Formats: sequence, structure tokens, C-alpha cells
Amino acid sequence: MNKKLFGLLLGVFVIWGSTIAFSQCGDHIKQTFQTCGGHCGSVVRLTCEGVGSNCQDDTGDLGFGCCGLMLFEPGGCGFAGVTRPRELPPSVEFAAFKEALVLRKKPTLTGTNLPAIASCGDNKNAFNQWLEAKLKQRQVSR
Amino acid sequence: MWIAALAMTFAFITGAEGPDALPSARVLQIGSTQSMEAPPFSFYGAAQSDKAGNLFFHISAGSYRRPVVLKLDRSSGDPTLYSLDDTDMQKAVFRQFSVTPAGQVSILCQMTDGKFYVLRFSSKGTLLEKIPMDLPEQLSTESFVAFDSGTFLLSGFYGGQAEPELRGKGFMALFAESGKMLKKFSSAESVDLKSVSQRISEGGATVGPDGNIYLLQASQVLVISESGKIVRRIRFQKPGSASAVKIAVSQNLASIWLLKAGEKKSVTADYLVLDLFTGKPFGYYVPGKDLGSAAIAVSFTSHEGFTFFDTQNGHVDLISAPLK
Repeated sequence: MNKKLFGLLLGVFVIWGSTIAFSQCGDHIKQTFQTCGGHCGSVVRLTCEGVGSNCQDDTGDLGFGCCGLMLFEPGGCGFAGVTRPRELPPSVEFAAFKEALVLRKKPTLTGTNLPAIASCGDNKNAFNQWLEAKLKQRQVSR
Repeated sequence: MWIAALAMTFAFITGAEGPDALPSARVLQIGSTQSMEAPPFSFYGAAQSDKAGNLFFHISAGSYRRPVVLKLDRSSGDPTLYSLDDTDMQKAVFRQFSVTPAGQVSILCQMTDGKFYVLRFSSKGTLLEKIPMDLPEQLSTESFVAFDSGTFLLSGFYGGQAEPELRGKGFMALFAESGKMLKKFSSAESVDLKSVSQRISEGGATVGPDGNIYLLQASQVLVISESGKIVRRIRFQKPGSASAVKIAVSQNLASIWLLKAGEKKSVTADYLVLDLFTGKPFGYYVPGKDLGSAAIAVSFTSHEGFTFFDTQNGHVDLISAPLK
């Protein structure tokens, strides 16, 4: 009897949990893609849009536009790690975001408000370093 | 007999004839490669270009929601970044961006207060103005395109949080430079909210060399004048599983990006090129294997063909694949 009751409760909990998980993004979900070149493979990304969408994976501020499901064909890009289709967290988006946050803490672009852009090669900071050098070069020439 | 002839004449005059069948596919091959200095980066959605051929990307700066656009000068390879300061960045969610033929960048954002804004930038990447837009919060945007004059057009649909009678209904309007709505179109396409999120988001728009907007919808192109008059409809066929996500117009040719999600959730793109004189297909193109397994073009011109973005050599390569 107890087992049956436990099973029933578990079933209800799972259904309820699934509903919550998949209704987080509601129909604000938007499917777009991310690419880093034909040979690196490309990314299919389901991205929640809109104010009021809860963030399943903490990629945005709570209760504010978020990025969720990540589906990917593994390739040569740095961000193209193994992901588990049909699962929300932890997404590569979140990993990339964390990576960007780490980069953000490095004062590579002192005195500017430029965002950190993670390069999709081996050296994650390659793009930032190049951008910084280019901007300094432009400032000097002015 | 005469009824059929009359019907055909009527269809020709009104442009109501069905779209032509897709021609057999031609394979795009590498023509030439332009190596850029820029290290590899990734970007979201379709890239855009101005009439000088410079490329603009919604670059990946950690999250799709971040409104950061990168310009790569096509001849020098120099970068320009269009972005917000840290404080504003935390409050903004990227929706769409537009590049005018002259190269002015505007980003459509929704802020944490639910309000939409158009952010207009100088050619050096400085934020010039933040234009408040009177748009419903529940709008899911599909296309956003600006004229050099500052007028812009926006299309989308009402999401599931909208009033019941509006859910899934299309929205399309023309706005003045100030953000004031000039005209609301009644012919906006509605969507099925249950299925719209199951495929890659459709829609795109560009300003053609004739000064008209070419607005891409799921199975037709609307040609709209700057005064808001729909001057032409060009219907087209596409494979059932494909999403029409970008349009580029060059001389008498319009190219439509048709994206498909593969079995392993990779994305591949085919290209339908329409002859604007006749409204009929000019050719249907698929990338050759040498362009990579997931080659997606970043621009199109009638004289250069398609340009692909690649990073396999440790820097950005722009690979031209001419039309055959």
C-alpha cells in the first residue's frame, strides 16, 4: 500500500516537475543558431526570449530573458563540448557565460566598458587580446 | 477554356499565381578565400552586411541576450564594436539588429521594465540615441529593418502571454526615426504558437538597392516602399523542414537562406535565389563538402555569389563561392 502510494506520489511529482521544467520558457522560446564556421560545426540553440521568462539555467538574471536548451553537433570549436540533448542545465551556454564572466574579471580592456568575447579556438582570450590591440592602435593613430 | 485564360490573366495581374517549383540543386564550390586577422569567434543567427560589403555579427559575448554587434571591415579587417556600458547591458535583452545600406547599426532591445528600445549607434560604435518604442511587451519579434533615413519596419507576433484574442496574431508596423508608429499593416502573418518554437525562427528583412524593404516571411517576400505601401509579393517554395531566416538582395537577384536542423541537431543551409525581374527561381544552391559540414553563408552579392565564414585555420576566413 505504502509502495503504491509512494509510486503515485513520485509519478505526480515527476509530471509536475517536468511541467515546471518545460514551461519555464513558455512559448517565448525562440530557436536560433550559433556558428563558429562550417568546419567547427554549428549550434542549434533554443533561446528563451522576453521579460518574465524564468531562467532554467541561471544564464540570465532570475525572471528575465534566458537561454536554455542547447543542442549541438560536436565539432572543433572550443565551446562545442559534449551536451546532452533534451536536457536543460547545465548548458554550454551557461558554461560559456561563466567563462565570459571569468574573462570579464580580467582587466584586459582597462578603462573601457567593452564586453568580454570568448574566442571559439583553443585560446579563449584570443579575440579579446586582438580587439584590445586593435583599439589601442586606433587610439594612438588618432 | 476562356474562363481558364481569364483566370490565368487575373492571376498574373494580381500576382496570385502559385510559386514555381524548386529547381534542381547546384553545388557551391570555393572560388577564393580572404584571410582576416580576426581570431575565431562565434555569433548568433544570420550575419548582415552593408552596401560596402562590411560584415556585422551578433557576436557571442557570453549569452544570446547580450546586445553586442561586431563589424568587420571587409577591406581592412578592422573591428568596430556596438555595445552598451555594463549598467545598461544588465538591463537589456537583445531582440534583433539592423544595418542600413550606409552601414548604420541599430539594435532592438527589450529592457527589464518590459519596454522596447531601438539603440542607434554612430559609425564608431558610440551609442547615439535610445529610442523608446510603443510596442506590446508580449511581442515576439521576427524582423527589424531600418532605412538610411531612420525610418524602420518591425514585424513579429503576439506570444502566449498576450490577450487570448491576440495570441499568435501577426504584427507589422512602420515607424518614424523618433519611434512614432506611422502605419500598422493588417496583412501581418499569424503563427501557430504550438509549433512556432519547434523550428528555427523564421523571418528577415533587408533594404534593396531600389530603396524598398524586402521582408521575408515563411513562404513569400513582401516588397514594401519607405512610405509603407506593399508594392509586390513574391511567393516561393521551400523544402517543408526548412526555415526561411535571411534575405539578401543584390541587383536583380534575391537570395533566401533556408536552414534545416539535422538529425544530430546540426544546422545546414541551402539557398534559393530568385530573379526579381520574373519573380521566379534563378537557382537553388547547396554548399559543397569543401566548405565544411555546417557551412552557413554570411553574405550574398550577384557578382561574388555567397561568402562563407570559417575559422578552421585559427583566424577568420571569408570564402567566396560564386554562382554557377
